[in-house]
Amino acid sequence: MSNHQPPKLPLKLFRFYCSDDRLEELEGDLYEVYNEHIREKGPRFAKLFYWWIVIRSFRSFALKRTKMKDNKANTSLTFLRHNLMIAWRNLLKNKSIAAINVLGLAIGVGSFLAILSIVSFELSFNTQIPEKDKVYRIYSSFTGSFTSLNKGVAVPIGPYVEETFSGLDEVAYFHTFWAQVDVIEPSEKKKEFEGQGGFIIASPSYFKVIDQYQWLAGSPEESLDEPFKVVLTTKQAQKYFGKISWLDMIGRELIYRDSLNLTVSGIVKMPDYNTDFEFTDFISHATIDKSWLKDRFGGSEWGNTNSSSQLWVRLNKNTNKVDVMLQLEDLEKHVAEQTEDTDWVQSYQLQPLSEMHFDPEIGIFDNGRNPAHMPTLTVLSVVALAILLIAIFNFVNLETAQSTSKSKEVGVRKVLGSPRSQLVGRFLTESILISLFAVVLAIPIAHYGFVYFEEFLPEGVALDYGNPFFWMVLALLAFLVGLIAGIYPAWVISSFRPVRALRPGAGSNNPGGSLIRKTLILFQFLFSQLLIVGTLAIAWQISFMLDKDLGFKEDGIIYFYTPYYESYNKSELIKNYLDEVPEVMDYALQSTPPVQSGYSTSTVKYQSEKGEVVTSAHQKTGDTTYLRFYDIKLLAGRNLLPNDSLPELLINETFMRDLGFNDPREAVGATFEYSKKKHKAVGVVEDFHFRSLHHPIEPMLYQYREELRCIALKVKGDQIEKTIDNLTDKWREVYPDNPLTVYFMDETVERFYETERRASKLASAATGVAILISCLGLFGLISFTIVQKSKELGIRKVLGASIMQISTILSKEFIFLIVIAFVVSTPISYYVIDKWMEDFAYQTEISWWIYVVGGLASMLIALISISAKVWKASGSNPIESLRYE
Amino acid sequence: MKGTNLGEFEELVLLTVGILYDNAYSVAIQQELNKQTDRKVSISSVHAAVYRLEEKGLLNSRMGEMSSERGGKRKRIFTISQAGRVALETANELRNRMRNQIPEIAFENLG
Repeated sequence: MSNHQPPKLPLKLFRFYCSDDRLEELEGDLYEVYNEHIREKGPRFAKLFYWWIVIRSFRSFALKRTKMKDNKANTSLTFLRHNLMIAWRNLLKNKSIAAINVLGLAIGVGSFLAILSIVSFELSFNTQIPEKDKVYRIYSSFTGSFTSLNKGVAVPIGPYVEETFSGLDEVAYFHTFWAQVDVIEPSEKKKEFEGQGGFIIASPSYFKVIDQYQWLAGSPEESLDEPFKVVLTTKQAQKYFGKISWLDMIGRELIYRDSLNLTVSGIVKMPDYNTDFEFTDFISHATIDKSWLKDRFGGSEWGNTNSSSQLWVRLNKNTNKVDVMLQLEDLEKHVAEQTEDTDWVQSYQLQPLSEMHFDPEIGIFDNGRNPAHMPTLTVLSVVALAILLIAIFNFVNLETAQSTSKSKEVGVRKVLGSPRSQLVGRFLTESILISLFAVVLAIPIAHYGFVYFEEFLPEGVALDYGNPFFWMVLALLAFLVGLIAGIYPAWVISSFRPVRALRPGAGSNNPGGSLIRKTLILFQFLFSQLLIVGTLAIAWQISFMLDKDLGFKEDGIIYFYTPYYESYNKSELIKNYLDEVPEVMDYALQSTPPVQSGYSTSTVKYQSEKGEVVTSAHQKTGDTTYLRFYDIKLLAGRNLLPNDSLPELLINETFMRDLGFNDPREAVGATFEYSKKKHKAVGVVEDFHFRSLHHPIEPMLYQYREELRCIALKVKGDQIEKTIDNLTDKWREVYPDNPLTVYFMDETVERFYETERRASKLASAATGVAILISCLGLFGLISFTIVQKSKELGIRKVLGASIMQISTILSKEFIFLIVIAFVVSTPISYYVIDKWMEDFAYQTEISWWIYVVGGLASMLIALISISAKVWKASGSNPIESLRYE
Repeated sequence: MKGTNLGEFEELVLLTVGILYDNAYSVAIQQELNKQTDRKVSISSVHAAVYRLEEKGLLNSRMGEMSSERGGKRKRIFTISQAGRVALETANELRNRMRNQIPEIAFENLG
């Protein structure tokens, strides 16, 4: 009788699920049954039946592990339950310490969580757009009479690239656009939507390059191939039409800017992920040629670059960036041929899609999101980690400080035979439990943190409650923080020798870790002081910059631009109006206001006695009222004449010095080459700050021109609102299609320091959090020290120590630490502030006492946070503490 | 666990273990059951029953010897425990007692 081996696969399955201690007998039984079946009913039936048995045996008798034999898993489970229970009881026993622990950690974790959300939010942009690595934007860069970057390209370049370039899968050119929208209701009524933004005029290929949309109605090929069609995102469509079905929206009519009648031809759904392509209305590109859009976007000028005209390409799989860059050089040559008479050079560059969100120089889209500032994100991450670290230090401190009170427990456990690993496990359980509570509490903290910082956060950032990943990170955070914070205290506490731990009076000798504890407190104070001093210095510099006399008058001045594509004659109407209005005290015309973030420079050549001087000067243009209007002093010579054919200029002092003159009077009359022509300096004006105080004053020249688009007004202080209201009415008559945007000069100046202001707000928040956590820690520590020293204090009181003396004894340790922290932090903060200040050409003097204020502030805060406890302890009755002796 | 109450199948298995004395392992129990009751009992039902009985303390067990018939695996041999014997007798007694309480008249006129 020969035996047959049962089929392998079901046997494997059986071995997989069957418990080890049952496997042998059961497998044997199955083997026997199988062979019997082979003999009686043949191998085929036996095989099938074997499968059947294996499946049928998937029952408790095969799976269950009997209680008596297998107790390894059970033991650790019991231990976990035991540990959790002990940890819970311990928390209840020391409620205040536990609360401080949880709160401190929660604040730290909350800040960390909030900052982590911001950083990951910014980093997530555009990362999920399909084939993102192959998508590039072509943008313009100018050198020559002015140097700048422009995120757009001239209109004819798009079609040219599409026709002549090789190695590209898709080319998409589109224009960003805004308009007021009217919806035609079936009842012939109109619904108005004011000043909508984020529209584009796009060809079907846009949807191929930026392949992030899901089409719910229509298709990219058909919906945008004809003029007067528009595709909407689902959100926008519901805003226009309410909740009707997508298909019913097709064919509905929308009117853009009162005159552009478009038919809805498609509905797309935006992706769930973060993207900078947040456009809501997609107008078919073919509409341009058939409507008034032609005047704006139909240009054939190769030298006219508008940042709203975007050009995007998707590279072929086998093409790399360099291939396209080479072709861009050819394009530059072609463009140069088309635009002969310019004094600048246009060149074209590729911007990878992945970099768009992080390039403040180019920007994202007109009226789109603001680009993220990478250095800020880095600083944020560092601060987040530092705060988390402070919170963890705090925890470590409090736990090790409590170690003496736990020494008895450790002693008893050790005597009863508990190995050290089990003790570590017991204390780790407690710290992970605390960390778990802290993480739960951190969620509302982060949530309200976001509300507090709303204006300063990118739009749309929030805690991602719906994302399972978010909860996984939280769980991991709870575990890791508990582990990191708990491992050291657990190690210290579990190292006690039972004999010493159990001997009476063991509480008074300081176990290991006191040095480490002091070091950690030192770090906390160090960090708090750095933050306090840093915050003060930033605030100092900001107020210095805002208060500094810029060399021209900026108060009470408002300005606005007339639309550049409208006929210039129309601004005459506005000027005439301004002449009539009594509230307007004065007005001046210029190309740009005296200060602004953009700039243009030009090369100037001057033949001096010592040889040729070549320098680059900033250009300003305006009318003859400029100097009077802004109260800029003319040092020598005369103002410009109202004639733009005269080759005359005003120069500033710095320019004068660059040319080699020391006396303004001598510089008057100097002639130099500028813009390929000889020009004469007819006057010298006093230096004024025409850029932010990050930059030193550079050479500047001022030129007269007639057609100017920027109008600045001086209005009596209390009538600004009324003036703007009246002006808006007049504006509507003249430019019905455009909204009036009024800027305040002082706000423009303030905006220069937006980054610094954000940094200031961030620094103060971080300071607050750091101080708060440190205070919590101190509070916990002092309560503990008091319990420790209660007998000492009692005896001292009996022997006649005063409240003052006792307070000193209790607080001197902390004061000592704060002083050391001060000594260490001062050079560090001096260095950091010095580095930060390098960014500014004009720096305020940081007085020495800022550092002292930082040190004193942290001392004061420390004393306040411990004072209540110290006071109570000093005043307590010695009987209380000595009763048990 | 519901005390030592025996299910019908459990009682049969317990009886079979007793019959097979010292050779009572799962496959043998299954074969004996098939033979005695003339019904098809699957090996996994037997498994479920014997391990449950063991858990209730009505069966004892020990590992037997290796045999090539079983691919070199040992068998688990079950024997009735004292509690098992009590359970069997209680069940038997209960049944007889109740059977005897049925009046003869109840069986008349059954036709």
